[in-house]
Amino acid sequence: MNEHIVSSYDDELNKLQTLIMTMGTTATEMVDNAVDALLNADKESARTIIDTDRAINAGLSRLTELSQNILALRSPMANDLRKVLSAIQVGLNIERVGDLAKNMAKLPISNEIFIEDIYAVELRKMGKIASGNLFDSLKTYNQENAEEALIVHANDIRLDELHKAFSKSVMLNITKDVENIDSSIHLLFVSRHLERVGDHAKNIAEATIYKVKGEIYEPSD
Amino acid sequence: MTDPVVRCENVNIYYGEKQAINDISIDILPKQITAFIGPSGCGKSTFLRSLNRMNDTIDGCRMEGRILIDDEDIYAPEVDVVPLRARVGMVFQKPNPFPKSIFDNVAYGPKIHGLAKSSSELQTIVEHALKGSGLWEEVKDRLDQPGTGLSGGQQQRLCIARTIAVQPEIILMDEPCSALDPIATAKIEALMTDLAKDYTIIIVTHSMQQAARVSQKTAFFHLGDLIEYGDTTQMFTNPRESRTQDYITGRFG
Amino acid sequence: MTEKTAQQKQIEQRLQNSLKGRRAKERRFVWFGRSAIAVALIFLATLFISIGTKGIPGFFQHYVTLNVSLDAQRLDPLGDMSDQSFFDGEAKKLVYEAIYAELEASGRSKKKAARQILSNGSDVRLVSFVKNNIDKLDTVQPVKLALDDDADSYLRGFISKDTPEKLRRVNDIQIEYIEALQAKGLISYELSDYLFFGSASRNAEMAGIKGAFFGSIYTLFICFIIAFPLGVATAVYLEVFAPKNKVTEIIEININNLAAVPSVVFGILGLAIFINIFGLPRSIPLVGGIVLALMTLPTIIISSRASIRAVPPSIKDGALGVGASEMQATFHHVVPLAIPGMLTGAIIGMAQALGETAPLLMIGMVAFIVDIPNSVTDPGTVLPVQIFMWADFAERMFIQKTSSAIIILLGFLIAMNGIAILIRRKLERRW
Repeated sequence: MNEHIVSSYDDELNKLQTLIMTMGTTATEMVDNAVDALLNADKESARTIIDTDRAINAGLSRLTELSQNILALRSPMANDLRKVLSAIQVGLNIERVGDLAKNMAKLPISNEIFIEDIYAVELRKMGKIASGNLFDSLKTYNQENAEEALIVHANDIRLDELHKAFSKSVMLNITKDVENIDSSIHLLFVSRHLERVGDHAKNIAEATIYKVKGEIYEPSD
Repeated sequence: MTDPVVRCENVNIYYGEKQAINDISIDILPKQITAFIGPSGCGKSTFLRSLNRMNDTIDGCRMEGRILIDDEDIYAPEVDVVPLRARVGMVFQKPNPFPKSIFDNVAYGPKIHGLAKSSSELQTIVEHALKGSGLWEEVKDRLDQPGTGLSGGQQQRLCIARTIAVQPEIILMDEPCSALDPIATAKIEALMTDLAKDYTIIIVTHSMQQAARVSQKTAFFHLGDLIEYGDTTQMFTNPRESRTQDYITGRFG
Repeated sequence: MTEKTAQQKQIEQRLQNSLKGRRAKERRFVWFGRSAIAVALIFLATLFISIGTKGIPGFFQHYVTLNVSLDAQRLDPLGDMSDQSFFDGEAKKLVYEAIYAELEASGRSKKKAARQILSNGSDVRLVSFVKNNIDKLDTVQPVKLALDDDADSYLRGFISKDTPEKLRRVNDIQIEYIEALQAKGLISYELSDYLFFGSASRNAEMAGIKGAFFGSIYTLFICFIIAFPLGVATAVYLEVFAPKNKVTEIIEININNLAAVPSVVFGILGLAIFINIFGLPRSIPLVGGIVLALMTLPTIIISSRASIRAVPPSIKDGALGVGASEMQATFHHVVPLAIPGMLTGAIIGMAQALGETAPLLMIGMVAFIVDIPNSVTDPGTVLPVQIFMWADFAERMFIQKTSSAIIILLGFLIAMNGIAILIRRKLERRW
């Protein structure tokens, strides 16, 4: 692909890209760390995660400023315009993921949560899939690969199914294990959050398709 | 905070009885690109031409106020316009190369100002100027061909080379891209950004987008008044004056 | 597409109708123009044909070749080949002896007739032949001599044998002798060397334009070196440097009016000021040149100003923008670009001046000079004045030579205009 005749234009677009990838990497780590902190009841780690969310929010501010300036000063067209618009969308989704990770991290700080082993295994699995999808969506966004993005988009179904199964199982358990009802509710909460992380990864994949093809992806189901 | 290289204090310019510039004061910072924007007839070109006293060639044009370049009043009676115009160069709207060879075009300024003591020195100056304007690679094998045989964008870069050959401090550009196609325009804009490392550039443009793309500071003129002057980014994202916002958003011409 | 409405159909109909009228008008106009050009061409052709038929014979002359004894002792008594020696010598007698011998003429009246057939300048011709053929001295050589203009006129058919002898310029004996020479094949009709190399003369066969030609060149030279620099400098001053005030306006109005002043007035001016007040001699190319310069100056100034104005102001702005002074910008850039137009205007002004007769008559440039003027302060004349003077003389050959001189003058004018076009094309290409 050719570079812009005015090289500072390329520099600005690259800055935008770098910022997104940095934010995205941080958010992905936050998700993994939040699950670990929960399963290991690690309050220190949890507090770090909550702090890190501030960086994500600052990143979004910076992203908004950068995008605004590019739109105002460069009047981007065609693919350049889609780059900027999709960057804003991806940034918003990443910020939401950060919030989700923060909220998950808050749990071990203020609560003693009892987690049965089978549930821990499931949660760990769901956490890996969620952060994995997020990582993949960001990778395809960076590589501008629409075909891969479609695959990432489709993978979200698995996470949705796992979440449904997990929720069902936990809710059935509530009636049996009434003592630990608050732990069960927390588990449902975490599962829900991980499912939402997957949704945001799906949104990022859609933004990639928009960036590359200029189409808004509307699957038929 | 750097000192301004050009300071204008209470400048008023008249064409005969008609007033074209109303009491404008503005400071231009060095080694930056400052853009003058505004609708047709707002006086931005008139103001630009007063900075190298090109208005002197127009009958009935007079200036009141002070314009200081490097803290010297350029309208003081003992000031000679000839060296002033070497210090403050000008690139015009329509490319106007001399009907001479490419070499002679660039060499004319240094020759009349005695900047080269030998012909090899002159050759060096010409080569340096053509490299500085990004034209050297394209013309180095045909320096003796007429300057008028180049394309529009090349001609304008030749005029820029001609200007920088006399080592100016400031380069004034009066709508330099308005006669060029978009690719040639982009090349000139990239060149401007490069030149701003060494020279102070003031550009008049009727294209707001161009001002947004290249300049660090922008001044908005309207009917002879200076409405707003500030950082370009702020000017185009959140201007202070509502008139500026109306102009930029195309709510009035 | 959609059907046309009734209104659209009506408009179309009206368009068609008016179209016929417009086309007819255009056709008429084109035919008008073409016929006007045709009429002009017919007149032009008539002019050229009449000048041609009268003038071309003037380029030729009849010569007779006689065997002359080149007796060195008699030709060059002083023995030094000097003009004085030839003057003292008997060149004329030798020529006469040659023709007496050829025609076997004897007796006073017959010898006189024989002499009168030859041109009066035959001795001069013989002397120049001797000077060019020194090795042939003391031999008998065939020498080409010119016929007298009356004899020449007879051979051209202007004098008829039917006219009574008393009314003719050639008598019967002369006619007899001419025909005898012709029968012997000694008479040739060839390109006249007198027309170009001879000067003013009362003898029609010897008359030529050489003196007038060089007089014209000297006069035009003076005219050019005065009018061109002055005119160009004035134009540059008025266009570039003069302040825009009343004085400048008055100067401009006066210059424009001077271009329309009749040329005779400039002659009177020259007479009154240069000859009466300054006391310059009359009839010299210097004064003629000055008078013509004054006459041509307004033309040059006006055309030079137009050339300067035609230079795009962006060129001057470009020079000023690099820090050139007003003078530098004007003389390095504007004037060089205006020069082709200025030169063209100057040459056309010169061509006009070349054909001027009236002002030069006023200052007396009618000198009857036998040779070319040696400098601009020697008396001289110019081509149009020479033509004017020849037109006065009655001899038939003068009539022909007048037309020939007109052809030469026209040729001169065409050449000058051609040079103007060449210069313009050559210099304009650089722009």
